[in-house]
Amino acid sequence: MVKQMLELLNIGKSFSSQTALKGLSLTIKEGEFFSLLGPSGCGKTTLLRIIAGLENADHGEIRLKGERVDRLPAMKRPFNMVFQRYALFPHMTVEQNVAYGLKLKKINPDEIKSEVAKALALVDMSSFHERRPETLSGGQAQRVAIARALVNKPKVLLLDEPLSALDQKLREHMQKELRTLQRKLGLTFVYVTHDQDEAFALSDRIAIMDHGVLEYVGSPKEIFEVPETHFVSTFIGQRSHLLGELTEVSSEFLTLKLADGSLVKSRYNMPASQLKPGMKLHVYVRKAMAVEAGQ
Amino acid sequence: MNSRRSGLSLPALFWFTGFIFIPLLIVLAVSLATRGIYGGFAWDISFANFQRCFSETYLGIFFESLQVASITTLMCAVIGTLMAWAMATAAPRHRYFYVCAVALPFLTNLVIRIYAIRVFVGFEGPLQSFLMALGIAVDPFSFSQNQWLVYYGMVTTYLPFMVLPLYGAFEKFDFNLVEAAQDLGAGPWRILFSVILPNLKRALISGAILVFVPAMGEYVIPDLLGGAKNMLLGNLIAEEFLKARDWPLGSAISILLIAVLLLVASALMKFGGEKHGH
Repeated sequence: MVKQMLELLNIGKSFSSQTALKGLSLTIKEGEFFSLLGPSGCGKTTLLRIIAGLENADHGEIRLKGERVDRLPAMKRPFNMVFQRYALFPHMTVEQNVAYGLKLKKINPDEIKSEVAKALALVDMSSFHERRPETLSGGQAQRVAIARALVNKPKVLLLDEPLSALDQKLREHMQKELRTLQRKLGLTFVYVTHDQDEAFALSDRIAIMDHGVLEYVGSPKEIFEVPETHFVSTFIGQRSHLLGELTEVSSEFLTLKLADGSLVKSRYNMPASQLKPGMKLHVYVRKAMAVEAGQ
Repeated sequence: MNSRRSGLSLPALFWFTGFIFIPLLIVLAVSLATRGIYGGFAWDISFANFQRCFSETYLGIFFESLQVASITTLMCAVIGTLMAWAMATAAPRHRYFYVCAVALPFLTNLVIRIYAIRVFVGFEGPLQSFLMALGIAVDPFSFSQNQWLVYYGMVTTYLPFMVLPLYGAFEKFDFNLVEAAQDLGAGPWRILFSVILPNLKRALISGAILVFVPAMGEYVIPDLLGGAKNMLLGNLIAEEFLKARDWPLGSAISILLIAVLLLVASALMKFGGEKHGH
């Protein structure tokens, strides 16, 4: 049985202008690759920063294996973060960047050196240890940032859109590496992204967020097959939904007449008793599931 | 291409030669001459003036100036860092206003600004009247002329030269680095010394040169706020030229001052030009 790693209970946060998070609860399992997915401004980065301790929630609890950590300052939380724009220290070499966290823990220099070397080897950056961050490409910088976080042996690794600054090809390559790395280390990842393909390719489970609310939490497969809400369907399906009038219902399929008169046959995920001929319905093309219009 | 570039730099070269290099050569020449009987100078070449510079009195004034300029630079660095920090993290629409506010004193002549301080704290000035009304007795003369006032005048005068380069550096500073350091377990002091200050090093050094060099030769501020007891190198040079009418000695002191300043400035620049180390 997989253990609970991180529990978020009723996390709420409001900024002066609007509510960023509306009492959000979530359980993340040990060793899981968990993504927070949603459009920009949905609160996913705020939630990650609250977990890291870089921002305070107005209310709610964060528990790590049952123990509260939300009162700890960021520097004392056993989490490490990989930032969107790398945030490598420009006045230090790659090696010094990775060693920064260990030096603060008063570990002896020999051990620091070997740990740093191990972390750099893990992300395939060993030969760059004397380089300055400004001489690295985006992908290399992000590898160093990942090594700098991993070397501290965090209980949970937090990643804030780590690949969004990279080009498409490199991003896909890095996605594979991240997945392999996470599997190899068996570490819990909490991964923020607005890119659904990325979330689906990487994650064990995904939390879809919109306007500070959790819309859905489930595995990629579940989200594809049972898009419970209109938001999830449109967000996942993008431009692929059709609006039409119900003409016929059978035990498995329904038939919908679209505005141009064409007929569409589809599976449905609502009780058949609620389906009345003439009602307006959305049909989602990807998995052809029907959801009631206006929901 | 090459000849065109050198053509464009001709006016600057002319300016530098005509208004800086040649006058400096004249000062150097005069420093080797001998004081004339009626206040002028005669061309009896010797190094005697330089030897006179190393008397106990003059060395005392030199170290006094060094101390005032160093403390001024240090105070400007500390206050300037905090000011620039606050300015650069303020709301963008306020930043422009703050930068203007920092530059505002330059609209008034230095002598007038310093004189205004003198009047404000001086005999029967607003501050003394206010303290007297509160029943606090002050000695009107030591109150209006002392070393603390000199420091006050120096720091307020030179602060903008420190704040502006630091402001530029803070504006470019990536505050994500602070969060990254926090996330890796660093406390506030650690972050200041291991992340923020190393990234401000260049700005701090430019600021230090811009403050230290003029502060070392300053003479209006100690003259108006310090009184006769607070004589600095700038005052000494002015005295030699205007009152003692010993141009060769004044020139010799000037040459030595320039040499010291060049040394300090190049040492600072070398320190800042190094690859940032740890």
